[in-house]
Amino acid sequence: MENHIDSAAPQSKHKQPANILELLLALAILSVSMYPLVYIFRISQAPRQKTQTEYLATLLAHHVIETIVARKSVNPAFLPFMSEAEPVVQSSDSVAPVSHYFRNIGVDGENITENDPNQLFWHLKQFKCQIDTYYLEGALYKVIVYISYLNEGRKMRVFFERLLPQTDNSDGDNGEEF
Amino acid sequence: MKRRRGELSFDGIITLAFITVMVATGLAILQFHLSRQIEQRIDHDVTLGYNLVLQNMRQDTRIGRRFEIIENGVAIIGANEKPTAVYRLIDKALYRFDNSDKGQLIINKLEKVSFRLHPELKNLLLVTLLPEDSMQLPFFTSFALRGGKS
Repeated sequence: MENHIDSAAPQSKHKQPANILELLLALAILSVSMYPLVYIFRISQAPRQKTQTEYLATLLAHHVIETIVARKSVNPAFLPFMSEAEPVVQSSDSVAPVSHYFRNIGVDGENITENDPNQLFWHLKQFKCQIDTYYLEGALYKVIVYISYLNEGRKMRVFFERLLPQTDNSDGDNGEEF
Repeated sequence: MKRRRGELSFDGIITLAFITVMVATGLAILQFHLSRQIEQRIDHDVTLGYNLVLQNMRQDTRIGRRFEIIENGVAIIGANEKPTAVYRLIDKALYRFDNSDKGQLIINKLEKVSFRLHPELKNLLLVTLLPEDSMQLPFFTSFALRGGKS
């Protein structure tokens, strides 16, 4: 009996650190196996809900890109030029010119003003439109449309890009209609 | 032999880990399933209805060649002078009709819909949607005709 106890004591001392090692090993396996699940969980979550302001800015950027596409379709030589950040509606408290892409698009054929029957003025007043352009190799022209607005004092920007082909202006048209 | 208490065997730990992974897998699948049902929440989020307008309009203008403004709506005319799609406001809801003559509800609870051609560009349609709830954002954007080009 005494021999049995004596022989069990060293075995217990030997087994104790082995169990901790096994526990750590199991935790490591568990952690590694959980990573793909966490990844699946993350990508399966609904896309980040845009704020309504961000959504409207996206629609405005879409409007500008579509205007460029329409004008390019009418005049293949057309290339838009760069512009500073300009307001998209005509406000009585601002003397800055309205962006070219938002001129004369009101119901009455004028700029969107405070009296707009579609009640767009107050929704669009906060936005500004800026255009950046780049000449690229391969006779391509890159247009980047920025729609900017303030969110809790921070300047936010939504942007769309589009590549346009540069066509030969042999008839003397400089391609800039505005 | 006397069973030691307070310690798990390695097999027990692995079994526990396996069960944990299975439960986590179930939760991940449930989350994925719930995320697929976002399309059914149109009534709660106006932007989901706006996204449908965007998707359908972009698809129709890609093959359309001409806009025709009609009463309470717009028709997008295709290559054979037949309407590719017709958008019409009926009872404060915007419907899309195609060749099958079966109307598809795009978005409802609208106060006003405006389809206008750009004053200079007749191949550019200006679309404004005003929701019934004036606290919701309006929809304003444009669609250019591609005429099957790009």
